Amino acid sequence: MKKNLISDAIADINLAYVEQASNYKPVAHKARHTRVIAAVVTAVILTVTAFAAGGLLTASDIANRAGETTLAEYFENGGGEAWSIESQTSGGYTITILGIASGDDLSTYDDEIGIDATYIVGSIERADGEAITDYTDIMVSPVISGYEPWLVNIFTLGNGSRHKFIQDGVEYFLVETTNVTIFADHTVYIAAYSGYLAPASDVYSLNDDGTISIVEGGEVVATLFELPLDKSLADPEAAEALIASIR
Amino acid sequence: MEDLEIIELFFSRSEQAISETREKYGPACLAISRNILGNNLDAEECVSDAFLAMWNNIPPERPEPLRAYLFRIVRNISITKYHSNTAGKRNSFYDVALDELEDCLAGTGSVEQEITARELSSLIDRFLATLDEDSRMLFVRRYWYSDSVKDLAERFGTNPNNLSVRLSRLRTKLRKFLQKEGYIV
Repeated sequence: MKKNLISDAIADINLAYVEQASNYKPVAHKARHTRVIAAVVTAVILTVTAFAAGGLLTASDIANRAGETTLAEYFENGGGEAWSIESQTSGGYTITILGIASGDDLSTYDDEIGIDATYIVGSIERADGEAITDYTDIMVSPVISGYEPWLVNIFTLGNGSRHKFIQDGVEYFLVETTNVTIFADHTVYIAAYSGYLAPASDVYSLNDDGTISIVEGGEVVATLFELPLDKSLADPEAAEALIASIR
Repeated sequence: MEDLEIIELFFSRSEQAISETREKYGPACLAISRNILGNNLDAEECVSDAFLAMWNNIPPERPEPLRAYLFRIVRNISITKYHSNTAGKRNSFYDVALDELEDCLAGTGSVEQEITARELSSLIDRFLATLDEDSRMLFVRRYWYSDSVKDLAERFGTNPNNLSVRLSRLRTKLRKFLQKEGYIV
């Protein structure tokens, strides 16, 4: 289609959109705050398969709110069913992972999408039932067995981004990171922890057998969810190249 | 000053209309023009021409919203200037953004249906109506305002790479929309 045609067409789009866009800033924003959560770690794993009435938003709702409509459609149409919704409570907060999708899943769902990303959708609630009124400092990051969490995480894997919003006293997040299914021959975890930095070694430890676990006795929010990945999706060569670029 | 008051100044042929418009919308007009032309000198000239065009058009026109009306004049004048700048840079944000759309909407063979700019504009409006607000605004800011990826990333609170991915998905959606309508093979 000719450039001039496109240019002329764009010039004449609805002026109401032009007007709205003139000062537009999305309502939800990335949190920048300094509150530090200090509490005794109590990790309790609960598996829930349905929401109570008036409960959490769905993964599709969260994706829609974040403007990720393809992702929302994917979840709406039953995508990510392999993930059994899971909650963990630590440091006074309950973190629930509501949905996971990878670029592989999405490209299967929609041929036009070939995005090299993994999406993690979830919620954060106060364990005492009180409403969240200000953004927490809880970070969400993949960590990979066999690699130090402080070294291989959302900050170093690349393509990391986070969209957060608060609704009805619950903080919701949609995190995007490099497609971690290339590491499917490892154990891939999702760590949710307090603080803005990479997962610290005094919070998560790499054990001798390559597994990752939460350091006992810490006084911060620290949770660890294990992803059930299809090992056939592993790409050791790509994984090795990515790790080499990080080191 | 409110837009309605500015319009009344135009109607009463008071030159204060221009100064008020310049004060209120001058910087934004310059930004739009600069995104297209890539330099301040040409941009200032085009913005001045746009104010003159407004003086000539109002009355009898009584534009609502005034801002978008003015921005469209600035944009059109700037694009005309851009095309006449044979020695000028061809890598402005406007040109880059247009290249993105042209690449995305390229047909593989003969055009399924002939289309006018007006028809395509109407289709794009319908496409924009299918999007959520953030995506719609992102499209308009990129392809109408010609904002850079860096500026858009800042506005939308993300990193440039993520923003580029979102734009790529939007273009893919637009392409599919136009394919369904039979305008791209």
